[in-house]
Amino acid sequence: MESLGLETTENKMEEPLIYTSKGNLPIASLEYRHGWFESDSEISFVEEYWMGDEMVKRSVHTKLKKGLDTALEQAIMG
Amino acid sequence: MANTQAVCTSFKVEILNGHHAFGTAVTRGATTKDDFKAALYLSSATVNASTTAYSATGEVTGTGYSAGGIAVTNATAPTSSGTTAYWTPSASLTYSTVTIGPTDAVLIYNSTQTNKAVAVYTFSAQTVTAGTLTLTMPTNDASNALLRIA
Repeated sequence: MESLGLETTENKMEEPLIYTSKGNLPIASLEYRHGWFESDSEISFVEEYWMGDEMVKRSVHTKLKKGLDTALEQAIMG
Repeated sequence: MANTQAVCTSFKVEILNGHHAFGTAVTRGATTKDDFKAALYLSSATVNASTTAYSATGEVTGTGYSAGGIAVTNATAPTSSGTTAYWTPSASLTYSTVTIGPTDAVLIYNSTQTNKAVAVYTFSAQTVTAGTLTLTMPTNDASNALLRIA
């Protein structure tokens, strides 16, 4: 049977896409950047996807090292 | 103004009045634990020890973020070690596919008890674009748990 010259659905599904501020884009067309930040209270991992000079996706993953404490104190009677 | 990390003062009074149930061993009318939520605030907001309840003032807005924040997963009952009682949510706080910020604070509040505030936690200011903000909880022990009463 003669080809209709159309792209098949199977070919489209093989190209990994990622959701960005500009909709779904091929991952291969984006630049991936990442970095770490650590302080006394947290450690954070940041990952970004850039399309040229524009950042189109940014995710942040922060681990809180420690919570908060509150002390219940008591006085001495008398 | 700025956000300040603190256990809300009103919460300290309320736990003495039995307003908050992180576990199921309650003795008031309802024997089920309360539901808690986590709302994010802009770096320009003012949430701190004086915060008494959830408010939309200063809360982040943006694609994918619902006002009021997300539910806190509470599958681990409060417990104690030594002289310290403590509790930590049993899962990370994950805000998926959002475009928000800058945010540097999360308010944990009791959505069952008229949105009464529990505590404010701050972190380095972040902007999220079509992405995920994940706040992973500290180790749930007497030294590091998210909420500790010594």
